[in-house]
Amino acid sequence: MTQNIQNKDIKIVGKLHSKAQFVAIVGVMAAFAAILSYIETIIPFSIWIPGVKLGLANIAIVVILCLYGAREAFAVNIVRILVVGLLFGNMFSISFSLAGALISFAVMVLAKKTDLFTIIGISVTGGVAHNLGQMIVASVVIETYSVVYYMPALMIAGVITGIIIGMVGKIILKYMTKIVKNKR
Amino acid sequence: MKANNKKIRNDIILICILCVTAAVACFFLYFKADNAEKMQLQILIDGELIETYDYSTDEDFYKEIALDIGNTIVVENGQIYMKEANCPDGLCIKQGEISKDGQSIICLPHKLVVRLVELSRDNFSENDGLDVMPR
Repeated sequence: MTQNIQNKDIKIVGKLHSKAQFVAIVGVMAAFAAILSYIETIIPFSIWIPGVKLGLANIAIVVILCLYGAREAFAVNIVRILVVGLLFGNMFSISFSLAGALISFAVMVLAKKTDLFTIIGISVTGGVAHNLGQMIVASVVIETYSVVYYMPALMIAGVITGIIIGMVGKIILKYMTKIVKNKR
Repeated sequence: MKANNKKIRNDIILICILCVTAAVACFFLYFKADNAEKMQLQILIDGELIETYDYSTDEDFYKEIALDIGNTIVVENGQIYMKEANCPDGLCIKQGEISKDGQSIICLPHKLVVRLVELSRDNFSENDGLDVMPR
């Protein structure tokens, strides 16, 4: 039973036929991601290491990446960052989260393309890439390489949050798959 | 079903590789120079070396360094920590104490870096890092 569901998880389930469908699904998922980002700011999960986040919004990104594809996930990502950045942040935080999100997104798309991993593996690569990407951006901004000392901690944190996010994403993907299939 | 099991196995391999990489990096970064004799406390703002202090591990050594940008650094019992900061996130205070070669406290909003450097590694200053460190 569970194996059956897992099997369905991996394939790209939906295909968006019209522009309206694209706008609708991207809008819904971006709203979902924005809410997750907001919830994340409420949860006091700030470790002393700069750049480590729980990455709840990544749930929405991973799910839509597995459900539809890179194009839709990219749109959701951009909308989410701009909305959240304008509502709760400033230009500084926008550029930072944009850098982290784009690097992690690119790596996740590659991980998806290789077709080697489940949603958990994709989410782990995304988490690690996000943390390392932000570390690299930070080291460029402050022009020092001392941040390299956070690398191991950032990697481990990325793996752990990636596994959590991937597991949650798997559950959501299961239900989303059902919905998308019934609609067609 | 078989393909799926393979993917789960790949997931586990991926996670293991990442953990091992982190452990190896950890080993190289933290355990190479444990008791450096002469260390220097360097304060960098925006990548530029602003001030340097001789670092002392003496028990009763106490020094408070207040910076214009709103950060106060304290050296106490051989431990260096950020006592006060007016940056929005306060992450530099949460980073705690440093006492070993190569360790640093970073305040990203102020572009401030406080780091300990062994004196024999003096070339690790300012922009030399560009040539030395892997990217």
